[in-house]
Amino acid sequence: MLSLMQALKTFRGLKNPDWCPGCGDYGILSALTMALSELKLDPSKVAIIGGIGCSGKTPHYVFANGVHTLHGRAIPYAMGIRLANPELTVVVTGGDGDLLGIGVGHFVSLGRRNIDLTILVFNNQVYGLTKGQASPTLPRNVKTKALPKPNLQEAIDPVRLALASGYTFVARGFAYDVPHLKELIKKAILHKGSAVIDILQPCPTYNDVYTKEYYASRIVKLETLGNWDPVVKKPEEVEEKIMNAWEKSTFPGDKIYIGVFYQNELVPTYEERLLSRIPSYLKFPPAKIPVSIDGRPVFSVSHIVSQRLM
Amino acid sequence: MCFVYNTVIILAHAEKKEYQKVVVDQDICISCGACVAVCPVQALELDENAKARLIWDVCIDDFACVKVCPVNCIWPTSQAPPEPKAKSKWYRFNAPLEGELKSAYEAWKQKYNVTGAPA
Repeated sequence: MLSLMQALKTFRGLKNPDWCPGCGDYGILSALTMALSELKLDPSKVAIIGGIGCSGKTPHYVFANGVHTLHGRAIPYAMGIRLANPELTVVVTGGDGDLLGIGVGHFVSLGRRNIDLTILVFNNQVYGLTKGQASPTLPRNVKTKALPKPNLQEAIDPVRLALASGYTFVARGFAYDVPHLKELIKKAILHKGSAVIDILQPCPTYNDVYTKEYYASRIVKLETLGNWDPVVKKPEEVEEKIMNAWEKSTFPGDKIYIGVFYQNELVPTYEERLLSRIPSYLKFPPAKIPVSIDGRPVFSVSHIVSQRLM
Repeated sequence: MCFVYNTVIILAHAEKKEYQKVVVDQDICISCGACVAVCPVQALELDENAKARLIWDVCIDDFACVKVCPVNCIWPTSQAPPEPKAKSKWYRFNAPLEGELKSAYEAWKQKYNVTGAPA
């Protein structure tokens, strides 16, 4: 059990996690808390939004503001929180079933809006909390432990879906490579615009195909390739960089690349787009407008009604 | 359970075998508890920072923890790199060491060049 001062400094929550022993979520939690504390953020200015699933429990274990929301609806909550108070650093922690199953519509919509959020997809190819059914990222003809027969459906690739939806920062990480993942999360938080990190994580309880050993022999870091540059510097380069990222994002394969696939800061964020319409938005965001003074509401309904009637 | 545990420790000590034990690097540890769950004699625990810690006098060289650690931060002492051996507080004792056990500890420290202090 941590003291309050330690928790303030390290971002580690006062509760101990109750995930299975050896779960990849522990690696992601370590990387997230280390990234937040290395960026020297104020815990009161950070919000962690979790959906439903093992991944959705993350807000309980981080010493910051947090919401444990409805299944698949973590992104809409985060969008609302970020737009109401643009001072906050908002991180969404959701699983593959949560963000790419029931919440896939919101996942695509966020790419179109480019709100300054960080999305962490905990990708373990199964619904771990409900006894290991096939999730949307499990490839066809693969049979994990809890499935009676091989999977009939094709998989969604989170990296490719994010590229197609218009996310401006797309990366892939590995839950057991904590120092590398920490750097990715730091880059994603500092990025201006919607950032998504697809985090490959073994599920030691229900996924006996994509295990620690499977990943250990296949993972290659993009930084180790010569002349890999994911950053878009001119608008003409967008097509070329997306095609390069598409080529490298194959999963599963003999080589699984991790690192930053694509980064483009030339697209204006939603906050900047709003600013062109509401010039005082950043100065007086909805969270800073008082709703009551001395216990009395600022807006009087009867006043408005009487004005309309006159 | 307690009976089995005590018997194992008593048998282990009665054999007078030299154990090489394991080394834990708490800076790499992600607090997942896989080693704690798999150890047959409960020689590993999560400390106050929720990192894995070895209980030195209980360890009997099973090495299940080495295989199961997802981030590979546990090694048999003979194969461990030098940095974690120099760190402190990654192991503790179940009871104050006395007699033969104390000399065994000193010999182990000397043999494997462990400089870190116990918690």
